[in-house]
Amino acid sequence: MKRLLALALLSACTLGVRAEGAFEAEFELEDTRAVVLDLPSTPVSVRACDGSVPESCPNALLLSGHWSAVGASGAKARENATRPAILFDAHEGLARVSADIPLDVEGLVDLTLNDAMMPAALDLEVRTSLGDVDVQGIEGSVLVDTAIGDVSVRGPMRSTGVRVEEGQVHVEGPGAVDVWADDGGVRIEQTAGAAQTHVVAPGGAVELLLGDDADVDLWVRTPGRIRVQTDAFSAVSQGLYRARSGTGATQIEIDAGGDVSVRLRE
Amino acid sequence: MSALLLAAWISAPVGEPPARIVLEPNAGTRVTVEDPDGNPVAQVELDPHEPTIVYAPEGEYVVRGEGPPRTVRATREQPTAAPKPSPDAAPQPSATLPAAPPHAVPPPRREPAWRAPLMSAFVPGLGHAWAGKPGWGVGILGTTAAAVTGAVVLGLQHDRTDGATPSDAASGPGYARLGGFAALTSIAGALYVGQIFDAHRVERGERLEPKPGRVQVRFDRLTAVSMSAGRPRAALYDDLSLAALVRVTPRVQVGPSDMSVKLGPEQTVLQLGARGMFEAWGPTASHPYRRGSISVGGGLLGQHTARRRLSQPLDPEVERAERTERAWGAVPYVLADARLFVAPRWTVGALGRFGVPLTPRRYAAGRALPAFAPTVEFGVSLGVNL
Repeated sequence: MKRLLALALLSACTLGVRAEGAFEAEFELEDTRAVVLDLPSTPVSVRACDGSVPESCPNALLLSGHWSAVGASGAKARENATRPAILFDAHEGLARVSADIPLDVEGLVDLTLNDAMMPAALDLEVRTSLGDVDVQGIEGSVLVDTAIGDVSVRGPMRSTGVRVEEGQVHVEGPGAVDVWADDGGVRIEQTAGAAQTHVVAPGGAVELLLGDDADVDLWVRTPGRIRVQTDAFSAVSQGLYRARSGTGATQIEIDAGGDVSVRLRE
Repeated sequence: MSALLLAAWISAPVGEPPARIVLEPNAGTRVTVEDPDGNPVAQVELDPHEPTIVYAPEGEYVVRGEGPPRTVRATREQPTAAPKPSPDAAPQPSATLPAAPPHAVPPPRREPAWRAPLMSAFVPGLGHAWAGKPGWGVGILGTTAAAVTGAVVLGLQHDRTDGATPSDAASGPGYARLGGFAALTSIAGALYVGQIFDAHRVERGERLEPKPGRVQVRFDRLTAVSMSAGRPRAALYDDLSLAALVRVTPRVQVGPSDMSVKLGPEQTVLQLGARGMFEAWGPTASHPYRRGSISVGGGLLGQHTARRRLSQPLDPEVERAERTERAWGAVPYVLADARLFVAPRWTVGALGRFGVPLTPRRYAAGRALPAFAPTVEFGVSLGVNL
């Protein structure tokens, strides 16, 4: 104790203790079409399950995670970790999960959502501030809005939208993709044919793996290097590149600050 | 002139003849001249044969020495021929103001000195070098540059994505980086401000005469590096505040302190406190030229937090409701303060504070420290004595 006190006096700090309080929650998703995870700073990991197998995939949202808290003592830190609550409300097919942090523990607690599981057929929207977001297996639409953190969305999703201020983005799926990544690279893998793709990444490089290059209208702009290598297109360029194959029905727009690479997915 | 003259020269406008107090000869007598508020203006050992002149703004003053205090008046009367007092005459302390003797000490020149401080504002140390102290100039420039460079290097190491991924990585490097950043920015700031004032003094070529004043208005920055509930695990807790301390006795100051507004996401923290300081060492009537002071004291810091919450029901037919949550906080603390006069009325200081918050203590950007967690803060301060 004397050493701790001496250390504190020398280093300008606070004597406190950290503790964690785990939680698990299950929310019914009856008549729900879309789930919104509207959470404070936390990493988010969402796994989809096959809703046609109710034994292993109930029609519910299962959450597990923990609250970290600090306090002057271990007991107080543990008590602080129990103060926040995970809230759930639903209305007309839309379900929302949010967190309630009482004012007396504001700034003293932090959420970590270890795992979330939900039926694959539903749409999903994730909003957080600091934390990596990992979504797997969703068949509906996926929307991710976060300030800082890497975003990975993989699965048979119908469409994907990502907005991130700082972080790497990786999307792997068959649907249309709309990505805005202010500071970070973007990698998109189209798993079934070509899909509408719109990418704005002013602070990073973009790598696009096309599922198919037939009927594609490709538009690329970047101050970096452009490298296009598919069956229909082949170019090494810089600045602005535009090419069209077939009817050009599938629009692909990439506006990047770094190098752009477009090739066929093997 | 054999008299030890510690002339008080406060604020006579440039170009005007200064007001003077003429003290009659009195062998071996040491007197203190005080302004009406009791602040020592000058301490003088009277010459046995010649009158002694003290320059001061017009007004009444009290002369304390042997015998009862007496009131004198400083006036701007022009020197006229006056008979030189006889060395054999008996010392007659007087409150009258005879005309100045022909050999009276000329008042120091007080030309505006703005070149050196301006230079130092643009390039730290340049004003000292220009005013004839190149060694000081190089030293100030080197130290400031080193502190700023170190702070920038540590600042650039901040990774905004740190904490986005859960990790068990040791938080020691984070503590070290934040502590170094806080220390270097404080040092650089205090040095930068202090050297500008000092360049003014050097250009003028005057001996610095501290003026403690009645009221000290000060800007304090106190910082702790501490654990955070969130990610990353170390965080900087910065408290920027204003204080106005009134000198109720020559050594004791009390007054409002810790005044600040801290803004965070959806919340506003108003902070106000009261502080008392005892000056254990510093300029006194007997040691008016001490350039520093050391004080200890304590206080109570109060906080009021208001957080706006806007309910956003999913049902569009349910009206949105806004409510404001409020919380009060208090932190008793003890404080040590070492200050250096960089101009007659301006000081920079180094602070250390130990406090135990009775409630969660809130900082800007939504940060908070838990209740009853002993906290040590270090920092710097800029003060002006009025």
